[in-house]
Amino acid sequence: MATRTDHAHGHGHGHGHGTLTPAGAGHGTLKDYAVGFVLSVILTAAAFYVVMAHVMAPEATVFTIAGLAAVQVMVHLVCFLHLSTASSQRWNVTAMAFAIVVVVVLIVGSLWIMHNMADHMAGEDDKLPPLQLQP
Amino acid sequence: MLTEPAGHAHDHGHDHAQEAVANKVFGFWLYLMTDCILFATVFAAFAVGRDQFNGGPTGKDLFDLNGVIYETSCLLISSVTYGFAMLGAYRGSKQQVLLWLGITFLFGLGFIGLEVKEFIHLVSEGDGPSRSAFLSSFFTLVGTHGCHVTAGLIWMAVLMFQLGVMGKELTPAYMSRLTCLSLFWHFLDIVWICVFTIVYLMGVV
Repeated sequence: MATRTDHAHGHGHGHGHGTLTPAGAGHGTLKDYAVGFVLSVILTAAAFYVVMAHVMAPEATVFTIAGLAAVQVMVHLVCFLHLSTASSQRWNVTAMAFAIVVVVVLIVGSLWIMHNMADHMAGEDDKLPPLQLQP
Repeated sequence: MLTEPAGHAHDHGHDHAQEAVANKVFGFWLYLMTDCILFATVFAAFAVGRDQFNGGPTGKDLFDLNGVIYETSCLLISSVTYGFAMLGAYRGSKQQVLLWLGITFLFGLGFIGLEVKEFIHLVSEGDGPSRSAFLSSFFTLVGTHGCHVTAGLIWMAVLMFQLGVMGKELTPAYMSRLTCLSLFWHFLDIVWICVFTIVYLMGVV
């Protein structure tokens, strides 16, 4: 912090490397982006391959691509958004953990409610149309 | 910053500027978390409507996975090129920031172009948002993401204009804007992972 290499901006205070690195978000390196990109390409390609080449049963395919997506989200959070367990990131991670709780409640809650509603509203004959009813 | 003792009285102003930037970026992070919840609501709507075809076309009939691969590639590459813009900014190089932001912008524009092309094709075939609950929720979810990317592109154009035309420097204030947009841009790439997995891939399984 004490080194002042860049006075060109003329703001009266130091503009060393540290000044150009805002806190409140992590600081990425070339390695972070390279590792993140390579892992993302592999995970994305694997997900599309599993679906397009029909390598496994539909249920297994759904679980596999959901798993690949979850891993890729983690890769992006760490490599691109530079989220870490560092103390400077604690509030970012706390806010995200809370957001995840709300997201899960919203999605699982919506599915649960709508599923129950469909069960209660439809008789045996007029349940929501299954796929084979299409023309 | 609290852990680093200020060596000079000179450093106090610097610490305040640094802290203001940190607060702005953290505030933007909180906005992104609320945006997560917005996306959760449209994902929930899609999860409920995804098998309500009303006798109309299903994902299997409509989705062209090759197009989705191009869209995904555009967005993923643009995430990395934005990272290079940030690395250029840390080094204090305006030229590199402008160059990489420009490249990022083009890939983002490519993504939006592909998405608009897909939407126009669907609507022209009579498979618009009013065809079925599946298509309503599909257009809402994918369209919401597309609107965010468009907003990101406008923001990026403004940042490039400020740096390249108005002659702004890489001041702490400018860096906070550049960092907020980087969080926004990478966040949209994460949302897109969920979109291509849940909407497109699971739609054709």
